[in-house]
Amino acid sequence: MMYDKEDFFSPEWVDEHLELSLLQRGAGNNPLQSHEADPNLLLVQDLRYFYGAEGTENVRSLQRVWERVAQQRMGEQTPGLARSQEGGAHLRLLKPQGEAVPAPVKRRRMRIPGRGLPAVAAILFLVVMVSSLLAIVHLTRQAPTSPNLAGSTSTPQPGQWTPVPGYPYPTPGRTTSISPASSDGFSALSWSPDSQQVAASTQGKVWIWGATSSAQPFVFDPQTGSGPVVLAWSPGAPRLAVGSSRVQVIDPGNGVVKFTDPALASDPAGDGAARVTALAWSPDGTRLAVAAHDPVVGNVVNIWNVQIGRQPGYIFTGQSAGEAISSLSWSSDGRYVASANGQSVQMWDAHNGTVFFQHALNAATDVAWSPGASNAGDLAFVNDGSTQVWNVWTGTLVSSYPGTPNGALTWSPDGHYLATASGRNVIIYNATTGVHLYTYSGDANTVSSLAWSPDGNSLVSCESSSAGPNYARVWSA
Amino acid sequence: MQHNSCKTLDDPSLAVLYQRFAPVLFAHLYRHTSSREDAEDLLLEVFMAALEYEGFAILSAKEQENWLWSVARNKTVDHYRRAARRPGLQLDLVLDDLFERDEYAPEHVTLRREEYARLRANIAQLPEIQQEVLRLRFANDLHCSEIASVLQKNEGAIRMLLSRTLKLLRAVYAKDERGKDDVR
Repeated sequence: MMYDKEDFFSPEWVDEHLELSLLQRGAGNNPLQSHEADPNLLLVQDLRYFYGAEGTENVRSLQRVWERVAQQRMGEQTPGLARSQEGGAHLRLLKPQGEAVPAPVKRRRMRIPGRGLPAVAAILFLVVMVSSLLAIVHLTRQAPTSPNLAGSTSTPQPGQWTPVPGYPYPTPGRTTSISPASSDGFSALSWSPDSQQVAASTQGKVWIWGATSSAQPFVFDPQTGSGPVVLAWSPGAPRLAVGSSRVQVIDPGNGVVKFTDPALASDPAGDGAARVTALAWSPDGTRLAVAAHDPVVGNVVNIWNVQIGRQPGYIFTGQSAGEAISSLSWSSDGRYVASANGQSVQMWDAHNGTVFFQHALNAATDVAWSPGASNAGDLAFVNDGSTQVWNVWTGTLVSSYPGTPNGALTWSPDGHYLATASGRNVIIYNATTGVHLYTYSGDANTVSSLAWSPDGNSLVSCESSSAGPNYARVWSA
Repeated sequence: MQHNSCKTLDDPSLAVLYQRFAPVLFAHLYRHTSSREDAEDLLLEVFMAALEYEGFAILSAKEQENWLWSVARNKTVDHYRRAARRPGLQLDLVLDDLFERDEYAPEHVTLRREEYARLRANIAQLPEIQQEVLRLRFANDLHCSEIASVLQKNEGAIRMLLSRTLKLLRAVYAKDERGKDDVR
């Protein structure tokens, strides 16, 4: 596209050219190289970064209000209907109710309620409350730094669970369904949006079964050989994306392939040698992030606009070498994608591929963006044997949970809790306080993947071991 | 009953209305309230008022927009009155120097750290109205016509102001470009 650089920001066209500059930056593989010489585009890129954190906060605010509007409208239309509005209900509970937690990790604004004597009384009251809460936290906290977390807590059995203040689930760890045995390790997990079904993948196969029954699962064979298969269930439609040597979007009810991806999305070199290594749907279900490993091109992340269907919306990657990308995650505002391989975790602008955050890694890991409304910008991944939560906007480590090296992790849908894996155990933490809440030890082999159900009530964990039969287990949160 | 349902918003209409007007109304409310939480509460009240107003659905698009703005401005005035009775102190936790350690910084910031630092300094020195326009454009994703509504100014004036501001900030990079040319 040709334009006059001096007149790029002319008053007549300033809106249109700002929009165009966002699209144009997606055209190159490396935004640094392709735009180094254009001060207009450099300025737009830096301004977008400069205001990025505030932009994310604003989108979160709009999402929160929308959830509340929808919730109140539903309440008006159907009095007493609350359970089906899980997302809205969670977002409504921004201020923890009855939970003994200190103030959130970060809060942008505070109000001092008054001046003079009332203010002093309020402050004294707050001091007493905070002291009490800290004492409770101190008493209940079990050091997350213990290398043997399984040993640091009593092995939970159904019915023996002692409720932890604030943890909303009454009976964690009760197995509700289990997959058939597989000699291959399970590699990927995904929940249906209604939390009624689970999909898991092994070498060359996809298994779909009910979350509360152990009926024979439906098995889908993508017929692309015996390589590893990755999965992503669309959040808003009966679509399951299955990635092998290509991406197939299927109807999970009957396995009918609805469409396959355009060649460039999963095979950038067009020679059939690429392999899809990770998939993730955008929160609104319109875009699919596809990570592919190609022997010639290297690692590529494509954003495929599924509604348009023909071509991937944008192609971007800065990772021309190294290990394949093992995990992708969308931010809940749909603006950013995080990717991880064994060497680094990166956060991309989904519009144009600009990297806003990066961190070196020494092992493959899942990466997961907090879905919570109160911890915008928190990204979880495993590094150096610890599950770490970083704020991508400040570049600061928010929390770390040592002794959790597996690389499997998942957030609860409200972002309040984080589940991660250590050997054969799954450990659940309060993501705000760091308090260790629960250890699930129902798996017999190394836990390779985890997924928290969209309704928050269940988790599925799966095993990957060459030694013995592997299972995927669904259990109550 | 059926008559009433024709006059109130159905779900798709509500979603479209929210998508179209919530960002700009939120920007207005946030600008005039003392906190994000208050702005969220007021935005909720505006849309709940629209839902409860029986004749809303039969208004024209322009009338709906005017009605929403009118309610939002009234809510702002009410908020000021309440705030006057209940003075509050605003504590903004400013994100201080981001990425003090280069290893965590985005690549484009690391490579052009000086430029980015100059950009931040230049933004801080801009008059308040220019900073406001930049924020509304890049943090709120508003177009010039919407920014004009929030700031209650003429759209042409906002276009001129945004254009002038961007050209001014571009000098941070253009200077380097000239420097490279000089070297060659």
